[in-house]
Amino acid sequence: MPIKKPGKKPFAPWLKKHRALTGGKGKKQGVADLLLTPLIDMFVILVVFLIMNFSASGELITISKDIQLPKATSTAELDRAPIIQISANTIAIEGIKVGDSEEILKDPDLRIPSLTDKLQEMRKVDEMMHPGQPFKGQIIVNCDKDIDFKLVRKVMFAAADAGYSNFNYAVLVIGAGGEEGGEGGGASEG
Amino acid sequence: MAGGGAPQPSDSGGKKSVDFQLNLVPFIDLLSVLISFLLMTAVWTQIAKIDVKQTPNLPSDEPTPPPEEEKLSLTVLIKSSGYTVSKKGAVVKEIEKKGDEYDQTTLAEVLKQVVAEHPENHDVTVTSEDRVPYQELITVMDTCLMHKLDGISVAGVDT
Repeated sequence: MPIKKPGKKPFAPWLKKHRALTGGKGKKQGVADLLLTPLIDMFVILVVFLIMNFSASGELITISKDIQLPKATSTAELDRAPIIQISANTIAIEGIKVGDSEEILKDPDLRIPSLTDKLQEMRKVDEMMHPGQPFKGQIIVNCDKDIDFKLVRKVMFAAADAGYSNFNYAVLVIGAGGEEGGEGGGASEG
Repeated sequence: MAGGGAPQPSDSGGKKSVDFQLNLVPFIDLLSVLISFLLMTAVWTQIAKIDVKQTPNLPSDEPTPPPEEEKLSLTVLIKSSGYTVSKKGAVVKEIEKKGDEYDQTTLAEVLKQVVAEHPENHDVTVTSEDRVPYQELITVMDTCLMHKLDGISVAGVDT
């Protein structure tokens, strides 16, 4: 394809006096150098920023609209475990609804049989999948920050009934730093 | 473009130009691919955990350890009116709310003092009244973790 000579006006006004356009000795050339340095600068800054935010473990929890996680600074990295979601409306295990929060709160009985049954099923599956290994009993509690402790307590009771006794409370990490930036957080916050 | 990798021979005889243009196209390609990959795999919300072991008063398959007499039994009770810090069954300090907010600064000071007195102890029991919001429980556990009290257990109180 033949290269056409550009017209009198350069395609960008700021390149009017560019050497490649004017040709140095006043003779116009047909080739225009793009200024790549700022582009590469921007790319490098973007790459550095993204690498700093990179997390190898990925996203274990998807936050639903109903749940606003509490915030904390002294935290540890999440492991894969069954997730109990507690919102103002529902209680769910791995996305499957097991009860209405309000009904469970009103119920004077501390147990939640539907949740315990589901967790026992999951425990059986876990033990079948990992024969010979001790059962860790880990569970992630993904609970809205404004929920009454009574509901959390009931869920803990139901989970403990099914043999899950190691609770991992999911929290949003506040402050600069990654997942493990806890210890130097400063005691006087809030 | 900046595609020319080899030095251009000048028009004036055999004198070679010292100008050399780096071939930036592969570099830009690499950066573009890297940026696309990092953007796709980026995790924008940092979710972590606060680890809690089960208290003996809740049902569990594991046998409960025998009670030790020399245990500190550090407990932080979250009430609707404030915090109560106790050890060995005796109240160390009652921390009233400041307006509508819990006084976390004083709690941190009290815990710091207790930890300084008993550096070997890393256990704490966080108990809460039923009406207390979950965020307060997490805040207290966070404060405990800041003071190296990482053996947290949670219990409820009947109100």
